[in-house]
Amino acid sequence: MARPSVNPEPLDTADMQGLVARAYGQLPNARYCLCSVADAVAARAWLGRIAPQVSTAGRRDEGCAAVVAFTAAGLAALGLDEQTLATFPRAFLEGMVTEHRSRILGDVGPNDPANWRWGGPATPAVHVLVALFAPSAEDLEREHATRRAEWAGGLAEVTSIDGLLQGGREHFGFADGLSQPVLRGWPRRTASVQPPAPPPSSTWSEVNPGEVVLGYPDNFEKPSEGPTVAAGAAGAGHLPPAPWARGRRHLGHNGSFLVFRQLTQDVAAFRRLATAAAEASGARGTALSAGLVGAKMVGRWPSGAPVTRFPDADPGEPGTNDFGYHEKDQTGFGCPLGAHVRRSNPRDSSAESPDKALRTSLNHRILRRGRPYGPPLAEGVTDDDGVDRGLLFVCLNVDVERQFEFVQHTWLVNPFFAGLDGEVDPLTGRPDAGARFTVPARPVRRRLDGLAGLVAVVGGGYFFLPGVRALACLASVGA
Amino acid sequence: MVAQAVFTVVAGIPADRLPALRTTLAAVRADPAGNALLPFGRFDRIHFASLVLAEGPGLDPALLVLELNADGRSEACLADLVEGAGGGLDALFAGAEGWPGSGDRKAARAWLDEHVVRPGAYHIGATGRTHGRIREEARLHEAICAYLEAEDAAGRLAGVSPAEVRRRVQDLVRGDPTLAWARACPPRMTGAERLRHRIRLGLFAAAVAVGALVMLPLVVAVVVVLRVKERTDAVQQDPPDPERVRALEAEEDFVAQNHLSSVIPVKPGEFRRVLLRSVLFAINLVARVFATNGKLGDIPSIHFAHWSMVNGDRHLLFVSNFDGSWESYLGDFIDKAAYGLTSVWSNTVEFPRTRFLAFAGAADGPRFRAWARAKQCSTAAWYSAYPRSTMPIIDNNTAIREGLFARLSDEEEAAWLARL
Repeated sequence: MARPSVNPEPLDTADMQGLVARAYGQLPNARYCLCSVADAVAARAWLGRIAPQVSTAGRRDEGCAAVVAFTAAGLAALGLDEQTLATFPRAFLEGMVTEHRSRILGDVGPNDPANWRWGGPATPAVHVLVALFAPSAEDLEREHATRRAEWAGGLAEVTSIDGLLQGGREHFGFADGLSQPVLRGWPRRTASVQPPAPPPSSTWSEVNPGEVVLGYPDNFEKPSEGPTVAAGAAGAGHLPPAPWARGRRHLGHNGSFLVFRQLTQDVAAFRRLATAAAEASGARGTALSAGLVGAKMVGRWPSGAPVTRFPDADPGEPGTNDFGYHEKDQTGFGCPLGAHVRRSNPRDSSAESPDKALRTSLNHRILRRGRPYGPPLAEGVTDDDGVDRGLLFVCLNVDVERQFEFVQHTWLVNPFFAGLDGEVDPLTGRPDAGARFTVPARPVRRRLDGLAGLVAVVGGGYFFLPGVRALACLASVGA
Repeated sequence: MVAQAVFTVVAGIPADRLPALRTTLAAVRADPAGNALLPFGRFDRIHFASLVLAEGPGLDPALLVLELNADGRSEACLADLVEGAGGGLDALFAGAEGWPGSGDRKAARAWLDEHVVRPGAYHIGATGRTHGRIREEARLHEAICAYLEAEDAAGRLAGVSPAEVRRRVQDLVRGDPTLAWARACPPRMTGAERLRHRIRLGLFAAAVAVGALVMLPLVVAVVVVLRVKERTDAVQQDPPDPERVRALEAEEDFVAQNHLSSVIPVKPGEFRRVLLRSVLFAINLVARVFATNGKLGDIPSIHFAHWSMVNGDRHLLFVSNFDGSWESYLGDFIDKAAYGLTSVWSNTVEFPRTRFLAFAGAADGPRFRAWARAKQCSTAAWYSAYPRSTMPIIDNNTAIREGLFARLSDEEEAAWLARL
């Protein structure tokens, strides 16, 4: 792809929180502590103590890792002044829950924030996210106890949710996290899935670092601009100047915006749906297996192998991530146009010219950092066991509206995505009653009816993930 | 082919009439298709329509903009309105200078015709297709789908060849008198029309090339002046007022399409005014030749969009009816059409910093989006005749009809079946 290469600015990884660089695949036990600020002075003192201890992108953590992020309400509760707050993007300030955002993100009906477990209008305010990662369950408990003792008096824990890696598979049984943006000038990382995946391809995934980290050139070759503080503010002296705002320093530098959504998954319903669709197809003369139905909905086989390249059966390993749709699969006979992975990242298939389409897709990428929660549903079980399980969706981006929200409303839950009519993402999109999923086939397409809601949103929020120096700066506000 | 009229009626409304006008606009807005004053849904020729009240610096009096995108000529569309919604027009234009009242139909029609503003540049997504045709072709596709579903459910499509499937669909259409019209298919555009637009563009390109050579010193002078202005023109500093953006968002994302309108002051001076007129003229010629298949450049989502110079060329009016969200529309602008948009809007105030008319500007995504929101008008009322039909769906339905009885190769036949 022809894009002028950026003069690789050295990435100041020691000043970035570790989540930017890694998903902590070697630390399978995670706990996401959602806290409120109980006492601003004590909370700032805690922040000053933890700032030098957070996990950074610059070094691999020995033992446990901690990451700290704030909601807009959290920054205000910490004592950040209004003038500084006003330099944050509107999406972050308003948060995930507004009438309009709920409409475009698909947070309506069963996803209505009114029913959320956290982050909604009916639940206590969430101010701070402290995410802890540990090599074992015991280490996690110990780490949590230590951290909790540290923030005691400053923060109050609203709720906490445990995440657990399961060989890189999400609960429906599919390898997850395979297609990540690759930051130009940054070592490429391979998704931690079993069986192992090949390294990501730069052709399909390379973006400028400023797409994920504030302060570096973004895909438009301009440094991504974050919030600023007055140059004279306490603790601002260590931050770089913000060239676009005279007399101010870049509070966002080496930071990012973190989107967090708790999604429940009805695994039994997914299995029943695939089986029912397979049976219905048998009655129509050309049988699809339940496995193929699932693969068509996802766009990948359970191993992660792309169905566009392996249309008939799961090769048993991810195979390749080096593929487009335009040349060989523009009409979707391999991977349906509305399949989950094709909606989430249409690669080169969303415009007449594949180059332009790919360039467009790359302007709307997110770096995913989520992990499953809850125990897996036993193999073969098709009745709900009543156990809570799902995905803790976490992603990083510099522009929530252009990246996360765009992916959600223009691609995933857009009923008219790619010329389709009245279909949403069959996996996460909460299809209305009577909604369908079109699987291109010969002689004519097959329509899967009777789709049901498989995934529900039960919590969420927008967070600011500051750089390390910015954390220290925030610890000094209001002082 | 059926010509479509893409136009606005623009009239100044004195300040003392504004409260009454707002009441009227609210009534139309509450039910754009069926309200008692101006029920757009009752006029079959109208595809999209809107009402915009533009107020602000340099707009004295305020401008009322009635946007119409309709089949046939503007005169016929306005005559329909006078005939069927005279009271509504009275409520809208009562304060406007010289409005004769709808009682005198002839005078009212003449007044409206006089106040028609033809866009400097426009785009039509469904070129050559009437509202009726769009509706009928959707029904054709539905009928075919229902048939195929029933056949498939009964197992009658297993192992059937593509040619045989199409033959059965042809039989279905032949056997249904309500689909008789689908047996023939008029072109979207005639050869003569295509040729005429190409000749115009060719002549213009030749004239530009010759003119630029002959008047090279003038061209150089224009570029120098432009560069000086580009370095010194004021650009927007602050983000848009969050309250205003929230108010705009509150109206968006209810149906498949959205509406965007803006009335932006042209930068002062004759230079920008002439430059803007020239750019619109050129874009319009290019659009007539290249944007005839539902896409403007690589943007597949625009039904009707127009740019017009209004208020004595002091303001640039933009109205657009597009699929999807504002964010995805602006994303398309930035990703796929930044040069063209920058060439136009850089001649209006506070646009992000540009280089050589077409460069930078809209490519600075965050600033361009902030500028576009800050300059956007709240559309007072908006009507879509087919709120569930996106541009790709409309085009696909037409392609199904075009291919139904056409002579197709095996490959084309397979592609046709994939559209069903």
